[in-house]
Amino acid sequence: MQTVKMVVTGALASGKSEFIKTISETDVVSTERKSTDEASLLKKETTVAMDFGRIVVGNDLVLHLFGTPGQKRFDFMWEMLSQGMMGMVVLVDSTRPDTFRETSRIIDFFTANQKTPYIVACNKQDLPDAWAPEDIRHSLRLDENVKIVPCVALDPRQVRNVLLELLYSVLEFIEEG
Amino acid sequence: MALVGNLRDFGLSEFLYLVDRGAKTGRLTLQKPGDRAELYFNTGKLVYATHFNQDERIGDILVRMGRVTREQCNIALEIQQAKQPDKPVGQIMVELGMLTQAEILKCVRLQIEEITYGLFGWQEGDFRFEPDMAPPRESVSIPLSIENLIMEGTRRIDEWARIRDRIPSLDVIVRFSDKPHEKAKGVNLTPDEWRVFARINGANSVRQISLQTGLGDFETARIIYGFLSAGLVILTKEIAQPTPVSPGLGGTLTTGPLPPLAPFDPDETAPAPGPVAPAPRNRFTPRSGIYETRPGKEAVLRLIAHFGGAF
Repeated sequence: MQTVKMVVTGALASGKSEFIKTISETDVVSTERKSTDEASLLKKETTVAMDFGRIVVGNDLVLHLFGTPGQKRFDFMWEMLSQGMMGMVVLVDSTRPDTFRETSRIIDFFTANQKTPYIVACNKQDLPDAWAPEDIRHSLRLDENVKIVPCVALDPRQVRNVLLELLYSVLEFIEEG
Repeated sequence: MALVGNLRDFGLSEFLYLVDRGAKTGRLTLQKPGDRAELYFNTGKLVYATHFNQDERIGDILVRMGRVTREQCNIALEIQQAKQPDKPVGQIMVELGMLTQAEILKCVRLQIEEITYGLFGWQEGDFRFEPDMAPPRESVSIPLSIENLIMEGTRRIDEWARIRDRIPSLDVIVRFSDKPHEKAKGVNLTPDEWRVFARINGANSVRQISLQTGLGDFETARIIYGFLSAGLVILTKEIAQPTPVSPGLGGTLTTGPLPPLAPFDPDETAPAPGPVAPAPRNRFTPRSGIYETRPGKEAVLRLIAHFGGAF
């Protein structure tokens, strides 16, 4: 059995859990519990350990999807979760410019020591005050070669598209050697 | 679509950077209790600013600067109200020979800059950017470079908290962004800023630059914050700093890599018996724990096909 791993990361309440739930074929293993700190202002149930989803292709290929904990006090998990990943989706809540700085920090963390393909998915694009992906690109100071795509994490078709875009980046990465 | 937020979370320098890089046209309204300001942009340049608490009309400014007398100003205003309501009062003054076009433009430029620099001091306040909103018709617009505004605005920052948002540690390395010289062409730097600029080489940390220039940590970080805000430099990963141990041990400790982590397999229901083999620390290896970090092309193509993609 060949196993590959993708990480879904982003700031608190960016939609990581929903994203994984929407695409996973099996029940998502989630260790969510009621928030007790400032996070509760943003999200009733915030992820304190991880979300894990699995997608099986044929009988010999498995894709594992891991969501990173959103709260800063669980940063120590990021290092472990990032080990062995072939690619990463960075989710941004397009309606929350106050989370852009945190998103930049997360991208810096995951890309500082390893060259891993990643894309930025601008979630909640269905909401009226969502920032356009190109505005978010400038705000996050992303290079032009970083893919940034619109997304609604509750929509399976759009989540599939995000994963596809990441897979195309992984393919380019492999071909470039 | 309007862009809304609060300066507490997304500062003015960040927004100006967005306007510059996105070559945006429109109106940015900043508002907090009892105060309000508007900045107008045209294709990424600031062209007009107004601050409702300091709403000094151009005629008043010219009087204050001694360019025209109060009587001359009143004459121009009367002509504007009676005959030419759509014409800027400054333009009327030029036509009456009271002063030159260049003097008017210099005065307006000063006004726009001072309003904008004052706004950098806002710790919080709602902002709303509405695309394609033009300045009032009677206003005089002057396109101003955003980079210089950011640099001057950040010179007025005097708190660590704001700087720390962008420079979390003094041990981060500073290097130029991809085309720094092109971007730097229009930016004017103070001598201290040049001292810092000259020591940015992709190897020096903020702390090292501070030591080399003798400017101190805060001043160095503040200057680099300005460079960052203007998009001139970027920060890269932290360097390991030698950490002295207690006297007598005869050596120093350096920050080294953490011990390797065991591979994690969520499909496993129970840990394997016996000692866990250490996972390779180098994440560039093709395999990390149970995962293939560089799966074969075939596996990726199969995943693409699974999600309905084409290749």
